[in-house]
Amino acid sequence: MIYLSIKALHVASVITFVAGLLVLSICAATNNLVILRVMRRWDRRVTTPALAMVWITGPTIALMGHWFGAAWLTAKLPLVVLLSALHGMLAGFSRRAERDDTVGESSALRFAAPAVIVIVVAIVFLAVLKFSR
Amino acid sequence: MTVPLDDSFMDYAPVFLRHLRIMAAIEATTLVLLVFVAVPLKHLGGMPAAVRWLGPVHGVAFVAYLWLVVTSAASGAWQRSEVVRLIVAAIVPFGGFLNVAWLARKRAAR
Repeated sequence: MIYLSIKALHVASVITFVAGLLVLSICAATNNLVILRVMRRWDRRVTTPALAMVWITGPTIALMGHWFGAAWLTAKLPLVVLLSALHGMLAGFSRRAERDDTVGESSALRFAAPAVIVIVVAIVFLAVLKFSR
Repeated sequence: MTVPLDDSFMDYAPVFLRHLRIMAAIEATTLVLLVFVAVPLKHLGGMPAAVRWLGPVHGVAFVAYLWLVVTSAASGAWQRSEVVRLIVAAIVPFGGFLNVAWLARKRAAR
């Protein structure tokens, strides 16, 4: 029951985080400072805490379920780190835009949203199928 | 492109710098405990529980630290060499403590 409750919390946190990350990546590509400001506030209050919750609940259920060392989790972890780093990049980009009062051009960020979707699909497949070697 | 850590770096910059320093200290401490306490306990003392618990704790600490470094780097707060220093030192045992001292000096110099 506790395991499933933490797992449910993990999934809810992941959904909140990925939704916020997708919107942030789309907003970063719009070059609209007003939208970016609103999104930055949402990011600080909701998306970033959701990311923290993902990283608290994830390792907890992995420990409780004895999943560390499983091939699917070993493959999943670098992808989750990549997604977290991508969020860090976008958060830093929006911070700079707010500080400088201007939205800089970033060709890499135009591909942030598709990259998020590709990584999330891979993560979901790994987590659901739980393949072993 | 690169903006120095001066007063223009918004009012919460010192707070962010402090968070980074605290996280660097936690990351460095958990790495030292993992490498020099938990791993010997597992291989020499036959007690794998220490690695089993401390491994994920250090992993989460490292990701949180990495997130802070990436965020501040993307915001233009650091030069590229400084970002490399912050990451490379963090993956070497005791190296993270050099980052802690360096970040403290950086904050004091503001």
